[in-house]
Amino acid sequence: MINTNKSNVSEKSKGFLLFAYNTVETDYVKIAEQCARLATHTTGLPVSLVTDSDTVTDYPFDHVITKENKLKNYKVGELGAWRNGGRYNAYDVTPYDETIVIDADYFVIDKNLLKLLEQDFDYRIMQKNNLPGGHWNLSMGMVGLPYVWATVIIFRKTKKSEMLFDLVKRVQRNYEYYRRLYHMREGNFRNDYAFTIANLILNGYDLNETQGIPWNMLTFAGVIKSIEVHNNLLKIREDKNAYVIPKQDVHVMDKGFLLSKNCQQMVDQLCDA
Amino acid sequence: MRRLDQYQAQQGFLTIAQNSSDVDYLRMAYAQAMSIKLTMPGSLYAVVVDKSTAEQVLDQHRQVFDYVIELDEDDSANDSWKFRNEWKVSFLTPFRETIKVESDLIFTRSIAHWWHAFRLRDVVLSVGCRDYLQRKSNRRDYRKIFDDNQLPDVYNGLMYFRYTPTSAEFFWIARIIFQNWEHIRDNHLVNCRDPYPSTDVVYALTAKLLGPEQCTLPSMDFINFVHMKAKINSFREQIPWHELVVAETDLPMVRINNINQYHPLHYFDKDWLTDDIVKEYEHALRI
Repeated sequence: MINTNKSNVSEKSKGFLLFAYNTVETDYVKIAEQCARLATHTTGLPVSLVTDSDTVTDYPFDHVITKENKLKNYKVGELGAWRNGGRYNAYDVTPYDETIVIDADYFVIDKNLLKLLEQDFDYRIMQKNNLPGGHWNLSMGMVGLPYVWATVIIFRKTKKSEMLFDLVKRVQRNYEYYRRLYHMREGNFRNDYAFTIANLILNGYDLNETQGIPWNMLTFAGVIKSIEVHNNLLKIREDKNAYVIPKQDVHVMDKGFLLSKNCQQMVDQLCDA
Repeated sequence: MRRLDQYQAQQGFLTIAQNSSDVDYLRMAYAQAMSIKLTMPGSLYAVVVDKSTAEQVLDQHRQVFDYVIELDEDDSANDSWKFRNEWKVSFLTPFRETIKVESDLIFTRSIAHWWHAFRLRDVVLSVGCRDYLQRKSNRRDYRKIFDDNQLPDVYNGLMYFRYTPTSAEFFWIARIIFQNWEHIRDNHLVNCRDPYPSTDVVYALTAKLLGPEQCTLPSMDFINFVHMKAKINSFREQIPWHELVVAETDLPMVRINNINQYHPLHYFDKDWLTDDIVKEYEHALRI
């Protein structure tokens, strides 16, 4: 089921798809607006938003697609609450032939995802995640399997991609069953786990990484005080640590920072550069 | 000791099955033979048994055992670990080329293409092992003797040999070690207190003496098997692995904790091989 259509055919539409559902304490749509601004600036691709009917946004998204999300809110530590169900709808609702689904807290700062679209594949999922201090090697549970990161998923409209999203839908609907079967630690629904299971089944119950995005994602999981842009560098300050890294895509989980003025300034700086 | 009529076929699989008071190795060999017939139809299978085990060979076993070879002498008669006859496989195999396997190992898909790789050497020992995720294991929990004695990380669970001077020398050295185990253990090995010679240690020592380059294929890193010993898989030792995680059969495939076992599976815990699984094999082969 390899996609035989050449990906560089000009009439193929490409774009980002963001899912953002506001919670009582977090304005995810606001975060998505910053994310979209940066993604379009960096890649030139349009960004569409999937959200619920209550949402109001002034940002000129390519499309605002309404999909209700009935999943309850969850809260883990300092990361805040989220409503992350319904990611499986991406295949059906995307207005693009080639879609890059990213979390609203993923900042597209380099063009690697664009380059990846030149490759021939059905879908790709972020396989590996790095913290600034090293690998984020976690499994779904004590005897659970390693998992992929649904933070970034690239797919084309092919049969295999459709099967992936159908399987994710099945996993979400029967999550309690899969949670026990796969020895998951947490009780709340996680897209990462649902995509891990679907990807595993679709690839012959094998952990091969052929469907993986061939680089590591860089995640900042702690509280961020500031991110500054200096030429080709990002200076990232946490409570106790500071990092200087080359300009690259970053996954920033601190919702407080994402809604701060400093974040807006960072996006302004990157877009003005 | 080789007989002129020893070789009756070009290639095949061979195991030793000596039943002990609490383990039915013949039953495991039966399941193994069925897994081989299922994944590699036309393959030949030989089982080496002692006298008392030979009496337990049934007609249904003979449907998949192409050769049942009885040991003339049982060097392990007084041992609870029956390893001391291992060196004899060279003299008992009916095949010019033999893949020798431990009986608690099954095949989930064909490894017929491995024969071509094996032919690069006269003797090939598998190096390293894999966890159930199919990843090469770097756990050393069970390999302390190997590390302390700087022995090559070989496993005898799956090996290849053919009739050549090099393989004759390999088994000649192994025989000396088996037959003089206590002396070698006490005088030439560090931190080794095994009461009986384990084949892994003996063959590792043999490989070291003969030269690992003569009997391993480091570049062929697929020649190894999944080892279900607990720590290799980061499991707790107190609970059998098949009770800790889901183990499903869709023969010839076995799925452990939702991962298909594409490499040969050394299931290690004999209780995993239930009567239902044996029946499933029989059903698949219409036995």
